[in-house]
Amino acid sequence: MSENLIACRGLSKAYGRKAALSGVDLEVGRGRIVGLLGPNGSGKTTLIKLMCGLLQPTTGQIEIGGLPVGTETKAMVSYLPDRMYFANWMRAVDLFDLFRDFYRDFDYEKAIAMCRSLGVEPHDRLKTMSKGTKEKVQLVLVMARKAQLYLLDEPIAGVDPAARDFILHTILTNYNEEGTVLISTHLISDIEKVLDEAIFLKTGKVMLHETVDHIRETQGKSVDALFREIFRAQTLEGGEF
Amino acid sequence: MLGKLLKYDIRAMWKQFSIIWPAALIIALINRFTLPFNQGSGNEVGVKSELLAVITITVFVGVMCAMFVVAMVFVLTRFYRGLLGDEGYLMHTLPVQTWQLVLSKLICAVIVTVLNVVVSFLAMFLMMPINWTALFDVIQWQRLLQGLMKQPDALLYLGEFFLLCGTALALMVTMVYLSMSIGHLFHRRRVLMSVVAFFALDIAGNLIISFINELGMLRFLNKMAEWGGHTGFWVGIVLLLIPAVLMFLATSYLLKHRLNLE
Amino acid sequence: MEWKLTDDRPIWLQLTEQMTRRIITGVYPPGSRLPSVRELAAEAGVNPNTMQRALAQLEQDGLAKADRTAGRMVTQDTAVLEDVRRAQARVVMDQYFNAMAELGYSPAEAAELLKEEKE
Repeated sequence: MSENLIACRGLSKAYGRKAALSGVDLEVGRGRIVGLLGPNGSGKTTLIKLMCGLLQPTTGQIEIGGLPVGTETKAMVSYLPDRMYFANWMRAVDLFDLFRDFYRDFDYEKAIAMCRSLGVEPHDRLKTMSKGTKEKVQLVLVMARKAQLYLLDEPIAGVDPAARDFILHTILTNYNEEGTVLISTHLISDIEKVLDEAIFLKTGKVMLHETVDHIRETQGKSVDALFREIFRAQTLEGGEF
Repeated sequence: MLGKLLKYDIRAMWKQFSIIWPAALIIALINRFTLPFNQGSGNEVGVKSELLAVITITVFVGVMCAMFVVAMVFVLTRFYRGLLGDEGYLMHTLPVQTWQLVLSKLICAVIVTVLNVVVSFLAMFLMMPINWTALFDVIQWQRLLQGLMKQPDALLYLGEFFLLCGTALALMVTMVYLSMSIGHLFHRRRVLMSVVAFFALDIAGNLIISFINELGMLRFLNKMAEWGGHTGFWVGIVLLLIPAVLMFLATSYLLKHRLNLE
Repeated sequence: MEWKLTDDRPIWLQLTEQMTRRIITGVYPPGSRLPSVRELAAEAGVNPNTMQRALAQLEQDGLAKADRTAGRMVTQDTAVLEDVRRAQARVVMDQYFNAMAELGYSPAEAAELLKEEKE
């Protein structure tokens, strides 16, 4: 087993002529909860999609658990995308069946139990569920796996504060402790206290990668405050008011 | 893994066709009684029943057309939405080889088309004013069987014919898949580029065939009559299979190494 | 008891303080078993590693002991508990005397006033 769970070297991704990521070098260890922080359009989603193989890098490499992205790494990664990905005619239990078929680390009973605690009836059709409920189903699918790496893309965007606490609580109580959780978000104050490390992304580059404790100790302020400072400066530099 | 993928693809297929297939058969059966098959000379044909017959046959034709349109749309969208759209987020993060994803869609597409044809034939059959007692006449069947025994080739020919049709179908579907995968390489206007790619592939295919013909490599086809039917069929199958496999491999390659779900 | 976390200081330090407070006020009585890291982390809504670090600090302070089978126990050493309680009391008293000094009272006067007020 390699020491680092995620290793990116010189990773770049361009859409046409527009660069989304440029020259990202990143190493993340095991057993950590890591925040991938940056404003919209800073490359968070792009980086996560590269890690799960939905995008191919323009240049550079990524390794997950010492392996290039492929079938083996996909079996280790549990991914929560920023959108709904299932057909409406299915029921939650159909999706659980599918996950049990394909992922060896999926715990069916745990998924059902999580549904009950989240107030979701697993035999309902997805068609009849509200957007919030569908998001819960997707969260259950992701967290009921005992994965090495959880990639959560904006899990708390667009939900009310109560639901936000609930989601964070679900993540905290269900993730595999030997695994690493990578959470992307632009709402830092909400998740700051669950993080070990923070990665700041700014226009496709890693600006800062530090432990949260270290940031607070050396800067004397929260990660959120630091974030606001850095990204307020950005708009001023651009000369826009 | 392929089996599991197929399980879900076939379930999705059943979801789509579980209404229209039985509907086609039922409407065919209704037509059996409303169509004036036996009302020849002497019998009065009422205006009402004539009108009814027109309506039911129209509905039947409509359903049959719908069935084939739905099948075509199904084949296109299962690939486009399922692998290149939002559902692709699920499919491409499963620990499965890309070629298996494509093959599962391909097999499912062929099954749908075949079942569509089967249902159509069944519907026609139901519509005919068949004498059911004659159909179950054992002696008739015995004679048919005996006839077949004298000509065992007939069944083989039939099988080969179906295989040839299936291969042609697979070729068509892989060509559509490859076009969509090529369209996906572009950042904008992916659907339009897919259509362009389809026609480009078609033209390229024709050019290649005529080029090979120029070289005189297809002259051996002229001798087909001498080889007898079976060889002819098999040569045909292989000739169709080669481009189908190539296009399948190209599609898998593009999805594996050039996938960009945005 | 609610967990209150502010933005300016490391979270593990704040967790240590609040756990200490819980122990000396008897929320977790001497000799009792502390909840697991995971439970405490979920309750406070913080990262388990951070809670782990806070508990390690408690051990270093002598307030808790790791037991191989039963998890973590609150110390039964009353001397240690009393020391910590005193240290906390001293902080409160310092605050009081400082505030009183600002109002112009000497420490002796401040102590006298406090006594009168309580009677």
